[in-house]
Amino acid sequence: MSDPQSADDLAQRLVTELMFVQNGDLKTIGKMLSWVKGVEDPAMQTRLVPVAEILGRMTIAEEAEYQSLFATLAQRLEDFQAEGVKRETPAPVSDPAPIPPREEIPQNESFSSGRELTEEETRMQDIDRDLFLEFVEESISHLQSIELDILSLESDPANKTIIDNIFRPFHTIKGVAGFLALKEVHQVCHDLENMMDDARRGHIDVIGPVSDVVLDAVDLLKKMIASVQGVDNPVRQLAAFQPEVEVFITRVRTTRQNALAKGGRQSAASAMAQPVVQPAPQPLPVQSIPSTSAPVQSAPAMDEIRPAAPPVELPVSGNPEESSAPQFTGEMAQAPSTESIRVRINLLNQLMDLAGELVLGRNQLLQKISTIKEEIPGLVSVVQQVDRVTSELQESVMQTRMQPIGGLFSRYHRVIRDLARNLGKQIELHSTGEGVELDKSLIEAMTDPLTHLIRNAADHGIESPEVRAKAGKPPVGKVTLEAYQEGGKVRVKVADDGAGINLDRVKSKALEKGLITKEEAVHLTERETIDLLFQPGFSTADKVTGMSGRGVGMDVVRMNVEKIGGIIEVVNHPGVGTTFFLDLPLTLAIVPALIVMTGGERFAIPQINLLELVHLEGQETADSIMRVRGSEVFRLRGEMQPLLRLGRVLDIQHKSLSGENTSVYIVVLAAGKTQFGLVVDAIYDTEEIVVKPVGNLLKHLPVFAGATLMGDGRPALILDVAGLARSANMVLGEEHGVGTLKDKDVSTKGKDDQSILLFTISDKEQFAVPLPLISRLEEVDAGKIQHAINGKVIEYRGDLLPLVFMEDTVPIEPPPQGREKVTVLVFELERNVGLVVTKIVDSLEMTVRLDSKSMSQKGFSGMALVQGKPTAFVDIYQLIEMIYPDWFRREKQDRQRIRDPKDKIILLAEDSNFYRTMEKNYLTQEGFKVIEVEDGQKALNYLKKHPVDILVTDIEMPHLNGFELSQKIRADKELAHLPIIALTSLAHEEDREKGRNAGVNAYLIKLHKEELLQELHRLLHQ
Amino acid sequence: MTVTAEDSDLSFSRQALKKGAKNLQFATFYLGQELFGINILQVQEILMDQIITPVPLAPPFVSGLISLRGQIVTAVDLKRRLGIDKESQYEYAYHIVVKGIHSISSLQVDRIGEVIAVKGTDLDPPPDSLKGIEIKYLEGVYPLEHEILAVLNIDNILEAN
Repeated sequence: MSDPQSADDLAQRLVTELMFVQNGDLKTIGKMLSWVKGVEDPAMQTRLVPVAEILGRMTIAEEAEYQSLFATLAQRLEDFQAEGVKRETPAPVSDPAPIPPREEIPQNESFSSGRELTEEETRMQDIDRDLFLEFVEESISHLQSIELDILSLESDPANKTIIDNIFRPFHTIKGVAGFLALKEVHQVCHDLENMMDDARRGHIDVIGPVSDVVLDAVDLLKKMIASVQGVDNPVRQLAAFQPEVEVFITRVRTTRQNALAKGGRQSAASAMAQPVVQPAPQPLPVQSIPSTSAPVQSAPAMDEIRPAAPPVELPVSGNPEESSAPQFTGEMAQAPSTESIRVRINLLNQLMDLAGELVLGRNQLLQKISTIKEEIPGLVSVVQQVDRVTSELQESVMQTRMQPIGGLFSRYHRVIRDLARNLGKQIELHSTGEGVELDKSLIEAMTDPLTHLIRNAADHGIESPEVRAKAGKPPVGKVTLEAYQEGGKVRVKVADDGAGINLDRVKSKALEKGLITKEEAVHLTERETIDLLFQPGFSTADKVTGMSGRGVGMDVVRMNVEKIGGIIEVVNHPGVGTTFFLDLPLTLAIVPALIVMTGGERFAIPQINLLELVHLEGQETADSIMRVRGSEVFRLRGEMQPLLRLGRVLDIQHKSLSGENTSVYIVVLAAGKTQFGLVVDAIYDTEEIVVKPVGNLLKHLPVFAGATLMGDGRPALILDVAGLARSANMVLGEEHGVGTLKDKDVSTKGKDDQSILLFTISDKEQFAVPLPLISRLEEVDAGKIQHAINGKVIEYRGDLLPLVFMEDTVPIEPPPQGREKVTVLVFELERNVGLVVTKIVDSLEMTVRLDSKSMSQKGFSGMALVQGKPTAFVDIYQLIEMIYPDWFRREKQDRQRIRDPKDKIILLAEDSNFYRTMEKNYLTQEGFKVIEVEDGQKALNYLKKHPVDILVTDIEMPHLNGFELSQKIRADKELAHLPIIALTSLAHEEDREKGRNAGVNAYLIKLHKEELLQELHRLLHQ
Repeated sequence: MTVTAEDSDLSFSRQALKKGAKNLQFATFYLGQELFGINILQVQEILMDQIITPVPLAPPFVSGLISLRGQIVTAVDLKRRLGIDKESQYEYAYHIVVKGIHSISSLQVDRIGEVIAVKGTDLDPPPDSLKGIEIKYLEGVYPLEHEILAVLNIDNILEAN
């Protein structure tokens, strides 16, 4: 049906439609409305405003109201028609029929809570599910826009456009909520709309408590709307909010009342311009009003048709353009103009699959016709066209999942505002790059980490205005949120111009939390210190505020970022600010990946994990790849990196067997902070791959992240780099993890020096044992080694010496074939035992920083670089137990064992890092809890504050030596009974005597594990 | 995944199977000389000559991955899964694509048989031991004139242990 041509025509048609229209017939009402709104003549438009208003209200009216609206409209149309007939020209503007105020739905009529819930339910069932979903989504975006507008309004409170922008969404949501019978949402919006209407008229200013109440309304509405998402019966769900809503509405009304009393900056002017308006309305009741009671505000003021109606309470809108009722219907009717459409995610995924399939088909087609395409004229251009369109199609389909990150950014303006207010700081948030698009699922996954970083920036980063003033900074702190695309990634930057990260405070906090030792604290680099922030359970906030310190730490932030294949980086400028960089993949579904081959199969490695490619040939290979404690490492620019062979990890055949003298392709990868090299047979190209899930039969394989289809249509597996590292027992997220083994051998002699003996089995790996443990070195003929029942032995001092062959026990390179002579290191451990080695390299004194955390191999206590070579330190006790499980059994049985060693806390005072690590290993292996300190004074300080079950102390220590420490302990009333074991290299009888006099319970010579444990158990048992 | 439309049918068939309702149809196939059946509502299609990408570290009964119109489907070596044959040589490279609860998979079989309609009430519970196959992989048996049709429980077969 064409649009009405004249006023007469219009009136006639409206009347006709009105005869057939029924409540809920949105289609007809919408049609009528579009006619009314379609009128171009401004004068006539004005005359039609009341009609439009009533129609608008009819779309959301409950039955009772609908009836009265219907009557009003009929009357109006009659008047209109009569007028039209009487005058050929449209009615003058000066003669508008009194426009009813915006609707005030009497609550007892429309939303009496007890009233036929069944009807509401039936209604909900009838409502198109999609409409409801649309409502939820639309409301959320509306609410977000309100937030932003409120914030900009604070700096420009008189800006009418912004006020309008805030008013409108409330109105729209109210309308739809009414239609969907979401009473509570409707109520809140209704009151807010009223308040904002006052603001539009300039009666109140949207500042201070008014803007607060608007923001809180946004929060409440968001909460309510979120709660009904995916719920079967939203009406019932929302009923739970009723008490909250009532309280809130009271608050809104009070706020509005107070604001009205104060008056807005434009109120006088408005009053002049609109004489109808009563600038000072009657006071509103502010006490809590149950929704079923009489309407708080006056009922609809349709004076002329319902003379009995209560007096008009609200100022009447004098500006028809601002008339808001048609908003909702307007949007409904103008559906075609909306730029988006709701699509099921399943459908999108299916489209993606199909597009992928099309690409494969295209590839195959290109291959098949490559030989014949010249023969058929025109075929080449057709194929090119198909080729191009296919690529574009695939790209566009992928685009469908992308969303601008701005939607996420916008919510942080609010977060910053609230934080600033609560923290008593002045903070501005600047955001750029809102248009950068990311996969929807990625944006969702980024929400929490970003919130945390923003909170941190405001809470910990930005200083208080006073502090800033002292530092010569502007009082207003600045938090910057930035997104930009870089390479195949999106980089999100969260920066503040605050104080930066205080490294000393981080260290002391970490010390306090027991994350690091004092010794480590001294040696930590800036980077390592900052990494402590990401340790579980770390928080630098001096006081736990409401904003941060919610138990969610930076460790969770990093975990979340890494879970989606992202990387987090920190740049710290003390005094100037902190910047966090989050590198994210564009999408989870399509990732750029490097294709490699091993064992004849192709594998895809996500590019985000890729650091570099290394190709070694010939001598380079031999020089760069080494074996350490059975694991391969390779040297990359002076740093040792662990090396994995993909073929071995996956247990498939591959051609390069040992890596010697052949060319080796190494893909250097990073997962979290772990870096490692992955040896593959061949490296191909990088490709954009579509990540597809593997079925649940294969889900449990940690080394694969999924599968993808290659250009030839065959599936290939995607490697999970973190899973690979984990499957190879690399410690993820540990600062001391493999991959950061730097040259730590210090040649200068210090008091921390240890005597160690270096030896080799094969010439590829170097091992070390503490020299004091060795009683003798014997060079023997290999031929003299004999086989006994439980192992090999050799005659030694007229007795049989049991022998330990490391290569038979732990995974290390085997010794060279046909050794004529071997060296036996003789250890006196209860009985003698000999460790058979090929060659003694050296014995030396040096400071050893033993890295025990990256050590997972039994039989070794740690690893360090000695003379530039990675060297594995042998734990001879463990090694012997691996071969002769009964070796120490006698002692173990004799030992009066503590039932629960993990309940016992041992304070270990030892200034030598080396011995401390060894001793700690022994003690923790036994199950004890160990606290380490590096001198006597610190031991004493610790003891005074914390309960400890036993002290194991060195004698020669700085500040307070072991003798002095023991004396002080015995002199302290609280500590007098603490058992003390002295563990020392001072073996003279006079030293023992001195120790006994100082109150030491046991005086042991370093470093006999069994003796130490025996004494520990004995003393603890007493 | 794209099994939405038939989901209702599927659950209906599962119910029907349990209740012993009438007129069930089974797609049948052979593993060696033994006849097996799958409820036809769970069968999506039958493929031949698929290139299989092996999956390292996967359970032995997974022969690998095949591509089905852009989807990646796990191919199950049915003989190994049922414990019939450790060698798992197949006469022809037939893959029966079946719809499991979570995803679709394909089952490798030797030969494809006919579609057999039986009355649900005639389906016997599986005997304790049938051809050495674990009982949880069987839905029931149906005696035919010359042989016994063993109806497979696809859901259990596709469940990761």
